[in-house]
Amino acid sequence: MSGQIGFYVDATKCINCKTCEVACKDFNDAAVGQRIRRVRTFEGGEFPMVFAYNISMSCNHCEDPICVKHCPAGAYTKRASDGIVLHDPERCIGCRYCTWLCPYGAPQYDPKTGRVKKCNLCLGEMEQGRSPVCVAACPLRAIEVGSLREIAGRAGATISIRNLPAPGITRPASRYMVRAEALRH
Amino acid sequence: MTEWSLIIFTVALQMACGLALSATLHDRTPGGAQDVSMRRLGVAIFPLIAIGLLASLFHLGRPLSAPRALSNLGSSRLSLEIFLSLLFASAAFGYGLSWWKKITRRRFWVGVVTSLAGIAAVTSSFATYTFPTQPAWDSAWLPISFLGTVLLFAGIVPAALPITNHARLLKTYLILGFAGGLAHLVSTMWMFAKLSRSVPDDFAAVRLQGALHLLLSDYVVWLALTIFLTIVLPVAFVLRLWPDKNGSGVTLADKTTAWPLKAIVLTAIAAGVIIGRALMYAVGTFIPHL
Repeated sequence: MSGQIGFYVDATKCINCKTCEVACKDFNDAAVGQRIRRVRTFEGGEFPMVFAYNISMSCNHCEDPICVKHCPAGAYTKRASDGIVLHDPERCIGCRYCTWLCPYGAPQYDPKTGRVKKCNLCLGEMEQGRSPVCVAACPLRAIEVGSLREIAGRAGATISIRNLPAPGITRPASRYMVRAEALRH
Repeated sequence: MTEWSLIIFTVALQMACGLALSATLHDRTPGGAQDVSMRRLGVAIFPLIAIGLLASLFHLGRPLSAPRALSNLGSSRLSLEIFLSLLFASAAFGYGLSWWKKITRRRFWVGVVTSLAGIAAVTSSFATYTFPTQPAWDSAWLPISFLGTVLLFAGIVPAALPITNHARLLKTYLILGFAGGLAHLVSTMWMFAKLSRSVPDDFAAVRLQGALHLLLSDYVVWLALTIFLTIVLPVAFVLRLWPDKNGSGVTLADKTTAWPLKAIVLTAIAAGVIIGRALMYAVGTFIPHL
């Protein structure tokens, strides 16, 4: 696989079981309250035309990652080969600036270790030819990883979703399949 | 409130910058260079910024790794803020030393350099907070508030001290203090205009509305207090201290306001600035649904 890669999430399949979230938390040994992947439910509409949708999101490995640019300790890097945004915990000084900057709340601070943790696309698993744990754990097979060119070309794939930040800020490399009412106007 | 260390850092930085400005102004006044009270202020600049920098270490999860914060000077606004604050601290050390040792030769120019370094540090400080990902902060109200605090301290503190027998210099300080209070008024109005704006972006709208709701419900008493202490009180204080002309037409500085009362007012204004800064962090990092 070459070029930018990212998550593809079919939110129309997501039933908010949070298995991806639990698998991610377990695999990464995340602290209490540290949610590296999160499933959020958004509601909207007016009675009787109400709706809700679930968005499972972790780091979007953005094409223009604000964390890489502004981390004062240089703890973030973006791999040129596949665009994965990596966080080096050894370089992290725990200033939490990235937690303010990231519009998606991807970096999660742990007060006990004094460091931030975030999704690294289960790089070790990927190098072994396996899928990231959230992808493997999803019982609905709603999460995939693929090249951005391929997933962005799928019919209906979008990152312009209601209640999420404007994609122009950091140009996320994730794509979602959502119902029409979840699209940004 | 988990950002107390940053509150101390930013307020101390702005206070030190304000004092550097007023000490430099004072140095240019005939007889000002030998003023005992101003000497104390000149010496206080470095300890102030040093306290601020030390406090900022407590914000870090790993304070011992703090020097690494300068690793990304090329692109990180936070790295630049820390670098310029250290530069300001270095200049303030030299400037403070010249007041301490009563070295008057070229001190004015050291003061100018220190003041410029201070303004650069404060400018980089507000640039650290103005980002589109923090919609409540991404507005002119924040820079106006930071610079207003600099002016407030540059004017109010020396005006309250028994250092100004020169009515013209006292007026300059009082005008600076008045401008600081006015800047806080403009900043507060601008903040409300920003928070109550209708924006097409749902995400930004939710955060702005959340911040406005927070300010007008949970924190309304603190908001009222900071408005009183950083706008009303400084303006009233300036009017109280404004020099009058006596029967012979000679302008006289205010001699009737007792020092303990002035000290109480100064403390109250500083407390108001601290409360305002705490509110800034509360509205900025408030994330309703993420």
